[in-house]
Amino acid sequence: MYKKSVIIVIALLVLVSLGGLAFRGSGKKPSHAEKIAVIYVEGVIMGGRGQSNVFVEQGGTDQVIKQIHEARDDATVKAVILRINSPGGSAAASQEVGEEIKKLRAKGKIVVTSMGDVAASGGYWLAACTDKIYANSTTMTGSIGVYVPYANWEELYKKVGIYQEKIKSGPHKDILSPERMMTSEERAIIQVMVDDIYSQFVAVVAEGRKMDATEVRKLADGRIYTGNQAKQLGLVDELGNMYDAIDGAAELAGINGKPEIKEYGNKSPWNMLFGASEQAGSLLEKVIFNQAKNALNSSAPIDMPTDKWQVK
Amino acid sequence: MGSLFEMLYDILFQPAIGMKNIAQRKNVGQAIVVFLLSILIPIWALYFGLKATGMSTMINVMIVLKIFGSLVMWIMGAAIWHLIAEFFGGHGTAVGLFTALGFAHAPRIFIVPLWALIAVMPASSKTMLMTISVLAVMLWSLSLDVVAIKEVHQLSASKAVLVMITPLLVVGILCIIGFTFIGSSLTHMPMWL
Repeated sequence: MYKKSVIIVIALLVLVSLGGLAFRGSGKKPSHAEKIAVIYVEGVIMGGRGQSNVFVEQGGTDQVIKQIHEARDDATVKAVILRINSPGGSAAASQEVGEEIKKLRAKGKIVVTSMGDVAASGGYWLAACTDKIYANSTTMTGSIGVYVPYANWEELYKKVGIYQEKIKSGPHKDILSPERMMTSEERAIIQVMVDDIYSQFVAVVAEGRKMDATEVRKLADGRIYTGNQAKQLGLVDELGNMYDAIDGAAELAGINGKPEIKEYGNKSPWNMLFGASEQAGSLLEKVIFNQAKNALNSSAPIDMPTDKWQVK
Repeated sequence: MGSLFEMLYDILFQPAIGMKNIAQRKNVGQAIVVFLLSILIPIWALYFGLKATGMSTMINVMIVLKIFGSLVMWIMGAAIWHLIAEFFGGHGTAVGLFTALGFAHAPRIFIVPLWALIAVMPASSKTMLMTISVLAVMLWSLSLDVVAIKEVHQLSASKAVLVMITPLLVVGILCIIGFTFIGSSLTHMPMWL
């Protein structure tokens, strides 16, 4: 009887504790302090919703746009840091996010870019749409240009005996098909399209950086620059890390004192279970005590399949 | 049900007697109940936190991973430790060890009241206290694993500890051998910045 009583007391203690944790979780009032949101753009910039599984969460730009909308709708968010660590990606996806950044700025929010290891090509497209750009002096950036990858596997197909027959509605319906050589007419069609997208890219950079389009074209031959070079050329405003960018954003937004940081994005359960050890304690604490202001960022793997249109 | 309460009490407060009784009775059903409660109750506490922080999409995955992972560890642990214990001259049964190891999960339920207590502590000490509480519960649970091996297989305490750490030692030795071979092939690679 004594043993039974002890176990019942322990069970009650556990139940009361569970109730207390649940009550504490639901009773937490949201903070109304002025915040700086951090939105991560990592990996290849691809349109769509991305893929999410237990092992990795590959972010499509739909997620980034959703986060931009959340930051826009949150009245306590005064400024947004766009933390870019991307070699570029799809032109359309970059443009889509770039336009959303412009809309965010039009709503009165300050948007500041912090470049990580690399913020090139499509990554720079996004940066050019923001109020101010911070880069590390060794950041790889620039790569302003467009290319269409095209592989001709015609000879290989012949060797392995594959012949694909197509019934086409028009002569160019299978343009960029890998099983035949591109005609000179088709090459001209693609070149015109590349030039069109390139002009749009140059216009975005010229508008964002307040530079003359001719001046931008001189820099935009597809080459990459270090953060240091980019600053000298006017492609970057300041040299500094993400915390410098946060300070800069706080100053631009007129936030007095230390700003509250709100990170957007989801951390995969796999990372949560096996991620960096220094994050584990604080994350666990945040989860248990309902103090997490955010979920963490998503990322796309480097071997992610790429679209036809590459901003480079 | 009364015997389950008594066994739980014994496991928590007089583990040697408790493990001996469990090994004799081999009540797998009760072990599964204790295992599930010991896994699900802390997950329930995590659930409140995850749901409140908007990480609702990962709740189901976390729960499935935790239950499945713990179940696999329980079954594999029982099988491997039983095999090693027999090599060391143990006389117990696999079912007895499996049952005892299931009951050894019981201390995990204490993580919930501990977290509830830490929740009202000063913010500066929360991370440290949480780490200590998790480590304490893990150590308690591991010590019960040792007692389970000792009592089920009638081994000495030192042998029971040796049985428990043998899989880790084997993995460690294999890693050292592997890294030695890999390291020797990497020594001539250029340095990357």
